[in-house]
Amino acid sequence: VTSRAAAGIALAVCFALAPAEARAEAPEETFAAAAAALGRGEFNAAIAGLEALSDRGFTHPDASFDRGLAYAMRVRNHAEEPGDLGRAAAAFAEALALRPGDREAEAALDAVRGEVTRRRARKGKEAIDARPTMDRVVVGLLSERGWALAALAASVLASIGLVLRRRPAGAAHVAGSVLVPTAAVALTILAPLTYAARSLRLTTQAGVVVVPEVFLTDEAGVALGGDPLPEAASVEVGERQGARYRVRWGATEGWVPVGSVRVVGR
Amino acid sequence: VSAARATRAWFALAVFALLLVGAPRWAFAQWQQPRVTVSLSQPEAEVGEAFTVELVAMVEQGAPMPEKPSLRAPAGFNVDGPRVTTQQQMSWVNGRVTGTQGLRVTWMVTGQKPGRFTIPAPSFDWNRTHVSSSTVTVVILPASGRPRQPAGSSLLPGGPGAFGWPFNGAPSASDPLDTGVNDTGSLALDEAPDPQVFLRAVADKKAAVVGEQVTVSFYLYQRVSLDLSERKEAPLADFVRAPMLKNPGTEAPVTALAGGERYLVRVMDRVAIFPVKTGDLHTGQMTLRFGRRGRNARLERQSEDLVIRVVEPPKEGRPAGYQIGDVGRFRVEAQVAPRKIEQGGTVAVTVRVSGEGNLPQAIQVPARTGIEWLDPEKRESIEPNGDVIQGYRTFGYAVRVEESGSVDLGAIELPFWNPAAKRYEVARAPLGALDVTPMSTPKLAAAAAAAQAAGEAPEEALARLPAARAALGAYEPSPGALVEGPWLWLLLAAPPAAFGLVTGGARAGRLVRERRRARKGSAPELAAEALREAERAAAAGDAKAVAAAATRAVHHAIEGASGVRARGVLLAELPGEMAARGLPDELGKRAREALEACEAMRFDPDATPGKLGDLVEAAAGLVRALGRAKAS
Repeated sequence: VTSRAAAGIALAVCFALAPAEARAEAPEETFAAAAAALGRGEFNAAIAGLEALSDRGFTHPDASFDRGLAYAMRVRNHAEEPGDLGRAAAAFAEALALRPGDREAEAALDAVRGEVTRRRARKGKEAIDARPTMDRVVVGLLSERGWALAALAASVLASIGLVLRRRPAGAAHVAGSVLVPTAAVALTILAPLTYAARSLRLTTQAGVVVVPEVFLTDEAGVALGGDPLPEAASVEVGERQGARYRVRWGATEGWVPVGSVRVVGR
Repeated sequence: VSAARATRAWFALAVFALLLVGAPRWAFAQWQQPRVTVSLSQPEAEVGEAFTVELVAMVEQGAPMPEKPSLRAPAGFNVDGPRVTTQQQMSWVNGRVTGTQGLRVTWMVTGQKPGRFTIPAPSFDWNRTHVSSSTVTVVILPASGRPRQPAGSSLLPGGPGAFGWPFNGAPSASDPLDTGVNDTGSLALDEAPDPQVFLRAVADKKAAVVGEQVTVSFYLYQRVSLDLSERKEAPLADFVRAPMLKNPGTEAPVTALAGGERYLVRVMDRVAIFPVKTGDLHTGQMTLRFGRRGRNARLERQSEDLVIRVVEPPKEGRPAGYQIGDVGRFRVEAQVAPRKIEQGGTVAVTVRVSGEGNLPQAIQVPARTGIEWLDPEKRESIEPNGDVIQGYRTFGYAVRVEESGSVDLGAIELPFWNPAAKRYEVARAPLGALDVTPMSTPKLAAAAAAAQAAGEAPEEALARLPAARAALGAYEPSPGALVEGPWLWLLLAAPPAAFGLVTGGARAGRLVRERRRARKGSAPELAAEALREAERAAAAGDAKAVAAAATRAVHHAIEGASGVRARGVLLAELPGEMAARGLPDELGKRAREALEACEAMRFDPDATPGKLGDLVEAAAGLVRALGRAKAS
């Protein structure tokens, strides 16, 4: 009897101490319910479920894709709320960041940005396009991993060249003599690019504007002037200070309210 | 002449263009018109009795502020003022905060003759326009002789008479301070910040979640008679506020001890505030200005700037659709009428959210394809009840149904955080199903044409969206960085560093080998080798071999120490040669004796092992001495 009682107490203690997450709905179940709601056209229910998933830190390109689709459907069904197009663009951009090359997400993102441009044109506003600066273009040619591997290859080749150069005169010596300076130059270019890509990854995040438009301000909150950032525009999100983000849009930098930009998970 | 005209025209055009470019942005901004209300403190007053006219003008956040308020009273009225206070209000819709700002302007007016009078609309300037409000009518009655509020008193919310002593006169015979202390609770203070008058702010809690009610009370402690002349509310910029008192400042005062002294304490205001964001949020300070009766001195007192630590409700267990800020205890009820309609028709859905706390400004409706929810019409009744803000808000929707058959409208769900129970709850009201009769084909075509004409065609760019993904596909998170931190730079430096190590190591090895080789042919090394041979020979009892090896050892040692090749020098001259190279005479003598002993040993047939050992020992001692002599 004593051992049974002890076992019962132990079981009760285990239940009481079981982690809350174990009792909470699994992300897969929440996603399935939201996807089913989206399939039935219940975009509000789908948005609620998919946003709850995002709040819980669950990241998956298909969840992001469906979230973007739910917002886009809400716009299409004339039930939109301000910023829905931006939120749709942010979700599609997140799906692409998590799974590069997703054709459907690319097409959907283009469709959302096309709709933003069409609406701006209808209000007599020009389509504003901010081109990234040269440093961002160059650093963005490869991923951080790509730059690091290229720099590593240059380092290895420079070392091989040094070895070959020590050989007596001949083809190997000539090859080494050519390889050493070439690889050294490549290394001096690739190492800073690796550093820049790493710094960008550590200090910035991708973001998308999720309000109809937002003006940049300086650190004191004074408007910088110039064009506002349009809805669905991609920005580079830097440090956060209170309720503001430092963002970079093309070559322009400034501060915007936290709620006007959605950070894209990766 | 025409050239001069053309020049003037171009000049005018250029000036116009410059004006356009230089005009401030707000000049073109499309602000909403100010929201203006005018009110009287009382509809009737007696001749000589003061009443107030209050103008409230609110504009949206960021718009220019109203300015230069004015009131032109009819003849026979005395006007005192205005007293102007700024106001800021925030409202919350779907987790987004929108704010308004503006002025509350109060004039004190006294009628001089009886009758019914229309007071012209108070006006103000705003955004380079002159804005008039509405007229108000007041009835001035003949003086009855009853006690009344004299003209020229304080201008405060609640109108004249809102403040008795101590604001409007000296203490009377029944001075409340003489009535003893009637508060021994939270109003008592160990120390008084000021010996005469001070303002104190008290919050009922120091930490809250976003949207949770915090009640802040502002108390005025005073021991002297004062005329309140100006009042500035605490900004409460990061909170939505709701007043807890209908006429702030009119509560009956109590006495309380502060620093051992009795003070008269009056609640100047009590507001329920709902934080709109996370962080350490400041309430800001309430400011009161006073005039001292009978003196010109003006006093200003400010309350503390309270800090409330605000966090989000926990993410764990947060229900889908929860909007940050929905905090309290709510119920949801819904009514749908009619239940039977024709396809394309509308039904009225009335949702009533009631309870206490931060009643949501918007609710999520179960909109879906084929069911369109139009913007709701809202009504509300929210007021304090005891310590909490409670009431209801109704949302009246017109819902257009494009489907036919039995159409289930779904349910209204309102997830909220219950701060008392510290858990999430969901208030739910099912809407039920509609019986929708199909529309005839010609009617459908006509409706589609009408919708297209009204610009309600589906958004072109979004017309062809891809299908939803029903299941989570395969997904591998990106591998991330190759290596992190300093290891990356170590990895990049590793190949050249490895090459440097290998080549450097090889060179070092070669140098060591060369040195060892060079050391092997040196005189001390050869001397040592010869000594080892001598020892081996002595052990074998070979006297000749011992003599030969010991001689070689001494010769090498002499050469190593002095450079003298002793083999080519006569023994008799050897000490002199060595001395000439800087070696001590004693060493030269020992060397000659050792070499002579070796020579003798070579031809000694009676050489014993002891003698051989002594010879080797002597040679070894000499070799060591020569080595030391060289080193020194």
